[in-house]
Amino acid sequence: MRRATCILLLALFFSGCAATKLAPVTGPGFTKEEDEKRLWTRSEEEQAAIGRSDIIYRDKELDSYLNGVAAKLQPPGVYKLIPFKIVVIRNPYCNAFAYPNGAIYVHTGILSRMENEAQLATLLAHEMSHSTHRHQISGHRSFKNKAAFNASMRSTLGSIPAVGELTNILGDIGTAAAVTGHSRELESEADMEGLKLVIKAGYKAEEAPKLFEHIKAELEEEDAKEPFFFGSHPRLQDRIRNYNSYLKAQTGLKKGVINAETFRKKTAGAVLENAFLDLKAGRFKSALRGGEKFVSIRPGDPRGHYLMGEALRQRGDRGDAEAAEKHFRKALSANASYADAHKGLGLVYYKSGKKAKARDSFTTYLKLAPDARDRSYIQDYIAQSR
Amino acid sequence: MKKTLLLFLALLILAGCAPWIRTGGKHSAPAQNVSLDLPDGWMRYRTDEYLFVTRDGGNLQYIMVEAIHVDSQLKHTKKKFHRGMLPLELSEIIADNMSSNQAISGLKVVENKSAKIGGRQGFRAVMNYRNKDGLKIKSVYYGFMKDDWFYGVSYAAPLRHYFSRDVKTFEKVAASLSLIRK
Repeated sequence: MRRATCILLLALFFSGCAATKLAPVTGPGFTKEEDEKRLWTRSEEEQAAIGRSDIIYRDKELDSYLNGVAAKLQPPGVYKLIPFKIVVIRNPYCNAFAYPNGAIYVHTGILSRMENEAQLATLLAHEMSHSTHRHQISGHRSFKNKAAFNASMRSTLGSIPAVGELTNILGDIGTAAAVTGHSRELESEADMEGLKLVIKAGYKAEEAPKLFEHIKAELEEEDAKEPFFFGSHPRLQDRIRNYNSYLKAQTGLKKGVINAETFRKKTAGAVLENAFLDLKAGRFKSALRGGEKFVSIRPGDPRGHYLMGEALRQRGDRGDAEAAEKHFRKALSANASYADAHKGLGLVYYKSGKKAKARDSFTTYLKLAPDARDRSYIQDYIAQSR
Repeated sequence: MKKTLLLFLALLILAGCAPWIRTGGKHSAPAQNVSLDLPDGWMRYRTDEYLFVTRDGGNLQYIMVEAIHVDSQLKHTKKKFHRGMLPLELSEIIADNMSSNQAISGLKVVENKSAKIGGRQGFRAVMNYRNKDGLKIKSVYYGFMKDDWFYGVSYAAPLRHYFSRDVKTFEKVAASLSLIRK
């Protein structure tokens, strides 16, 4: 597996060297070349397939906000050439990727990690620069036998947990953008061009490198097993260094907006959704962090405490049952008829031998959710608690 | 003569390597610590990792038996089985493992209840989802825990035509399952 990954990375490295640099779409007299037109058409087909899957996170208010931030970064003239559209996908891993036609997919995982609009702008500007600077077609041209390369890439990536499967939904272009990323040279160009857009739009540039710090933190949290190649350590370190050395040479970077509160409010739903995805994936630490963040944004919403209670109950480490009980109770103090919190509480009591309390919680749960799919279990547990 | 002998030996070797074996009747799978009745005429895939049988091909229907140790990592979720887990908790892990698999989409648990399997208290979950080709699949999953091992027996087939055709066969297989080492 390691050998296959090395071969793939080498192929990518050399392909990056061989790529011919193209003029950006903003250059004079830009017209799409024939293979570029085909790539755009295929991109649209891939995007239609993504749209048919259930990986899209649908939140009109969030979509409008993200597209509004993107619109601040590029002038309308560029939008006429590339109609940028930001879409959120349900995936707990830190990533985002762009198609040549301006469709940009942002994972709930990275949205959940970011802290403010300036960091979001950095991410979007970076991805937009891949499209304006035609990085996808440059990369595409560098593989002489594209079908063979794509097949071997899918075969290699297919065995990587949590990411290999993503390649089944994304097509070849999406896989190349999302999973393998671009060559170092093209990534650096997108970083620097993106940073210029961020500064020009009036965002606080000091926030920019923090975006990559989040990805680095996830890598470390995941015990360096993060599978996205674009986020591999040496390249990530280089990129953080590049940002910082560019920023050192600039003046007036302390100024600028970050819009932290607006960002937090607009992304709250995605943070919770992502925390539930983390919970399903068994990434308890990430789920708890997401739960805490959601609770800090919407303290009166019982779902945050319920999620934290579930994460602790399911993790089951020493002291987790007691902490889970507290969170379930907080969820119920926000909304006493939150059925799932009663069930969680019942399970905590049942497993710790507090049968009378378990029976009460389970009974309340079934009263509030008479059609619960897990009714037969709960009835068993009530019977066993008598 | 030498040529015939060589041909015979080659055939023997190739036959020995055949990945699929016609099956039926009582079958013991020591690697999974289970014994069960397999349907006549179905094909069993030769592997010790799990017990996998199908009649028309894995895309059209399959029955799979797996034994997972508490220390083992599941394929799509980092959650693990623990000794003493309740059947409801086991079913949640199985559903979460499946819904974290991005090769499938729209997973819905349509039924989840406690059930006896292998003579033990376990669960029976029915799930619908779409596979990577967009085909609607229906699956039934039985599971239970014994000491440090989780045992699961599942059936999956396209919702249209195939699921209903072979689900009774599967239920017979599941009902016949017992542990070799109790």
